[in-house]
Amino acid sequence: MASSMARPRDGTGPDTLLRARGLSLDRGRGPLFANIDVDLTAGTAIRLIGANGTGKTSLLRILAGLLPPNAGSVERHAPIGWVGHENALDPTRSVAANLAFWRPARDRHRPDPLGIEPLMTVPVRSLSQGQKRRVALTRLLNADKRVWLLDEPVVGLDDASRDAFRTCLTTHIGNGGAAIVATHGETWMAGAETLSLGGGQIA
Amino acid sequence: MSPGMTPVRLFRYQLRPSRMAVPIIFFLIIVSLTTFAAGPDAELLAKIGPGSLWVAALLSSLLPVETLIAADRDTGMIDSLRVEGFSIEFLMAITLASHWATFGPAMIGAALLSIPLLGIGSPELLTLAIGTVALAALALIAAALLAGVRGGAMIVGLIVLPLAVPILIFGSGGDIRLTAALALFYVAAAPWVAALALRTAES
Repeated sequence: MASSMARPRDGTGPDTLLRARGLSLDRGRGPLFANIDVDLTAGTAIRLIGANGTGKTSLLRILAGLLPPNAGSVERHAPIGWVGHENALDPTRSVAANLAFWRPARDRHRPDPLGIEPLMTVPVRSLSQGQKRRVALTRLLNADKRVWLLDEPVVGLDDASRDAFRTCLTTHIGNGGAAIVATHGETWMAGAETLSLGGGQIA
Repeated sequence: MSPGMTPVRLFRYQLRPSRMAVPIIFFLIIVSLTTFAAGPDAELLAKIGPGSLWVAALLSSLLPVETLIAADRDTGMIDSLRVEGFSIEFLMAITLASHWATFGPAMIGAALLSIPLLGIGSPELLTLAIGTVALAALALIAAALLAGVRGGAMIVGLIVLPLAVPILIFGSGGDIRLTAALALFYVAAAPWVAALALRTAES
């Protein structure tokens, strides 16, 4: 992973795209995490790691506004691009119809780094899990959102697609975007800052 | 919000006429069975016709409940649309509108086919047309309550049928004004109740 993915952050400047303070979540079995602060500035990527059940997905959902925390607040200063565990694709429609739903005026000459062009007429239900993920990530790339919140984005991808998406992520960060990526991969995003859940601490 | 992501686009996306094939067939089967059971007595059929029509419509309205919300929830579509900036209440209102746009005309069409069997007339058809709005709203509430509940389809009748008793009484009794009033009440309440149910299920 290119070391350019991680850049210094101050969390208080005009480049702050997303800021969270004192986030805590209790799902009824004791605190899942407590007092988490997140500062996401332009040109920054954060790798969110932790064992199963430590709250990575829940934290991402809180940051995206999908789940209210028990305590704390989130400020969002830029449009969010979201790819969760599910791919947000209608299985009964074609890949092209799904992408057109999210971006009707898609540029025909837009790059296709994940190689989904040959799949455009195929119904989503006929795709493999990896192909569906590539379509979901292409939807993200087409959306031109400045902040990406991604939950295990490369699960199911082959090595070539994983490398291609890593390049896209690096380009996105280099262009002033930002991302928080929940991942189990040890080498994936190795150069990014790390937020480790489990003890509620920033590593 | 993505360019072109308008309420009309959402409404059109939610239109799924293929879901109505089974409810229509089910409706016609119930009407036919009622006719066979009652025998050829035209006077008796005229008496039980409106009630039979409503029971058939009510039972048919249960069939799409399982997939009405769960399909979009399970694919992550609702999450992604929320991140785009749409509230759950708004999404539920759109879901209700698009569901009725397919369910309502389908039931009216099936009821037209039932005219020779049950001896119903225009007033009964008009009451049923208004009542389908209420039935669609009840289906939305039930779908939200059952979303994410394992085996929820087994208890959908237990939720919807008691709630449908008032509309069944006024609808089969031919009281257009009270049927319309109840339909308005259900439509006004359904998006809020459904959104509350989904939020509660998540948290």
